[in-house]
Amino acid sequence: MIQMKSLKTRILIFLGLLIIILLILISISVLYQWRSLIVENQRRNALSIAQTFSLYILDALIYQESGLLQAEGLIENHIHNFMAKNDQVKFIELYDQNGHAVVRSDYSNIDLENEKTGKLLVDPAESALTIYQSEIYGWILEVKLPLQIHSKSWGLLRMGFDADTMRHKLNQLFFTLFSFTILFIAIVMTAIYFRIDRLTRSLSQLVAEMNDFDLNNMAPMQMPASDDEIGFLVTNFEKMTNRLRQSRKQLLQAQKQMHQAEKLASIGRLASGVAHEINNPLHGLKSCLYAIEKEPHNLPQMVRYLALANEGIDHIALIVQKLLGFSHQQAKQVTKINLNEQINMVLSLLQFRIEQSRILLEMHLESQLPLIEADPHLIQEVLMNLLLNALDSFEADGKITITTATENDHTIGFTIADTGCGIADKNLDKIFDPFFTTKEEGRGTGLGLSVTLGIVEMHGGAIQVQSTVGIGTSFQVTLPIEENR
Amino acid sequence: MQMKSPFAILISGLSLLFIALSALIYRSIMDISSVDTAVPSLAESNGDRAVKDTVYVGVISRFSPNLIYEGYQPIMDYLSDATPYQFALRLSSSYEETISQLDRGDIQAAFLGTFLYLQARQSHPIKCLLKPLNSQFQPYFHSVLVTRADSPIQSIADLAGKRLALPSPLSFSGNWVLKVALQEHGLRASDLDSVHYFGFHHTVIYEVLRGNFDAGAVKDRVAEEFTNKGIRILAVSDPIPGSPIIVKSDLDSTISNAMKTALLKIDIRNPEDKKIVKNWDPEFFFGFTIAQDTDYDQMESILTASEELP
Repeated sequence: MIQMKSLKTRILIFLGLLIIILLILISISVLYQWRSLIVENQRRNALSIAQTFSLYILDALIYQESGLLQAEGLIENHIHNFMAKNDQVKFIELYDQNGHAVVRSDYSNIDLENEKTGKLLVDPAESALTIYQSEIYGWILEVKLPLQIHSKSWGLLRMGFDADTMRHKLNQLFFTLFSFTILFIAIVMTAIYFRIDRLTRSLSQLVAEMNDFDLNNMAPMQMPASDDEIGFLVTNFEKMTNRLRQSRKQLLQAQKQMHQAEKLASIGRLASGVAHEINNPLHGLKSCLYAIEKEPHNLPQMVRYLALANEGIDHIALIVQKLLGFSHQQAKQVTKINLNEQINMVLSLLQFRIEQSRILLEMHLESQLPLIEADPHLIQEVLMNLLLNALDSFEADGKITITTATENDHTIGFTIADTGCGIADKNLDKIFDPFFTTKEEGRGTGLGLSVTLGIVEMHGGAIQVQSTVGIGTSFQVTLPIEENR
Repeated sequence: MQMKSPFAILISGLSLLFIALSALIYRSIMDISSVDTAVPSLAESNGDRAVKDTVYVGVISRFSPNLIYEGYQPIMDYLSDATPYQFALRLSSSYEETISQLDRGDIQAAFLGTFLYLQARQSHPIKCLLKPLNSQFQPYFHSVLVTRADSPIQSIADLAGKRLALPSPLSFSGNWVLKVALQEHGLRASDLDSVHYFGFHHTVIYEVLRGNFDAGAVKDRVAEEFTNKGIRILAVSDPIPGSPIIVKSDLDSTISNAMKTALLKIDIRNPEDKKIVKNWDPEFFFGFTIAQDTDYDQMESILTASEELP
């Protein structure tokens, strides 16, 4: 099916029409010029023969008139012989000064009564060349020549030449040019069709290559090399993909730096809780060391206190290990993780702050939650950001609800909802913009939610937020069970 | 019903248009009819000449009839336009017949040769009216003796034993050769191989050119046509009074006066007159002057001269 709107069809129609019109115009011009030549040539030929013949007739008439030549039937014989040797001539007629026919080559269709009554048939002074269709002879080129020297007239010679031959030539000329035009149009249109087909095929191939384009695929385009505009397009497309790859590399680098900055900011926000967590075992250690120092010989007590001191040191080491683990900067490493475990891990870092702020934590974790393919550190960062934001939203007491659930065979989700201050409607569209913050200066970078969205989308997931000022905010995150590649 | 695609409709439309255009062009090409295209012709229009009294003018058969019509008919046309009369040519088959036409009243005027006039005036009621001027505007012409350009004949004396072509026995040129030129060089007609008379001056030239004759005598006006065309002039006569236009003695003087006035008016130094004489016989290109019978008296001797005298 040929599509009218396709580039190929439009070029074909435009060029086709242009060439057809040009060819037709050229053919018509040639046709009429050749026609003119053929007709003019025939006219000249007839005129030349008639003028030559008229000289003989005129001489014969003059010689007869002056008495120098007296031969019976001289002119009739001359006409008869001339016509026998020249089959182009269909009839010859001779008229006297009064326009009466005096000699005819053919009397077969003449009304003799009219001839005898002396009816004036022609104007003897009228010279003319006429082409017409005769009922008797077919197409005739008729020449009428006065037999005259200056003003002295001997009558008029009328000769009819066959014009059917001329029409036959014109017929041949027309059909030759017609066939040539059709053939030429067919050849040109076929050539144009294949040329355009080749051109548009290259374009289609380029479009297919662009559709299949993947920034991660470093293989070169599978396009045949060409020096034309298509080749130029391919070259520039390849340059553009290279620039895109370079830009994406720089973007990833910037995102990485942004993540790290946000992570360090989060650690800052954790610092007081972490200090408290470390301070408690340190107090315990100090008490143990004091008791051992006071009673160095009480071995059983020493053993018990050393065990307590050891437990305190292990607790500190665990906290430090978690902190290091959170702050550790590394490339995305996807493993199978349990989302519930990641939530507990992050909560352990926030435990002191939650306890300190009299916030009620409500957990609805699905026990049979399937494992998901994700980077544990990045997921922890998402959880940390959302929970820190929830904690920051409280001015006094409140409640944080954490829910995990399997949404379908391919997706799980978790919700972190708080009863904090909420987000104004006018800010809801901006909260994922980088560097957007409503917190006072020094308390927030404005990168937290932007980084969170980036990480979730990087894993093929999505975030939805619902918030009402004074009521609270709910972030619902969905993540694919298997990472999209 | 299945809808045709726009492309198919376009192609169908264009094809129909092409076929219709082709049919139209075919019809136009094949229709060769044309009506009354004027063709070039040597003829001139007769114009709307009023019916007038006709004066018939004879011409001795010095040239072929068609040449006479070519050169003399324009003079008739001029006279018809310039006088209250219609002038028409009446040709003859010989010099003598022109005199007979005058006698019979078939013609009222005639272009005669000098020799014929000298002979005819003695016994016929004619009078000379005008005589033509030559290129020096003198009322004379010359008879000339010609040979082929490559002929070994260098003088009249070389003509002994040669073949001689002459126009009519009543032409001045023929009589001049036999009665004057040969005798001046001590020859007689019998010294020649042969003498043959032809109808027209031009025929004499053609016979010499074809090599059928070694020499010929013609009017200078005819010989000039063949200068550089293979003819060499061997001898030239003394000036001879121009061939006269004569009228019958009893012709109404108003007619003869009208003829005289009209023809004497011609002066080719006037561009308008030059156009008029363009198609006239070259003998009359330079106009005419009054002719008196006495102008020709000096030539009478040639009538009585014998061809056989020394």
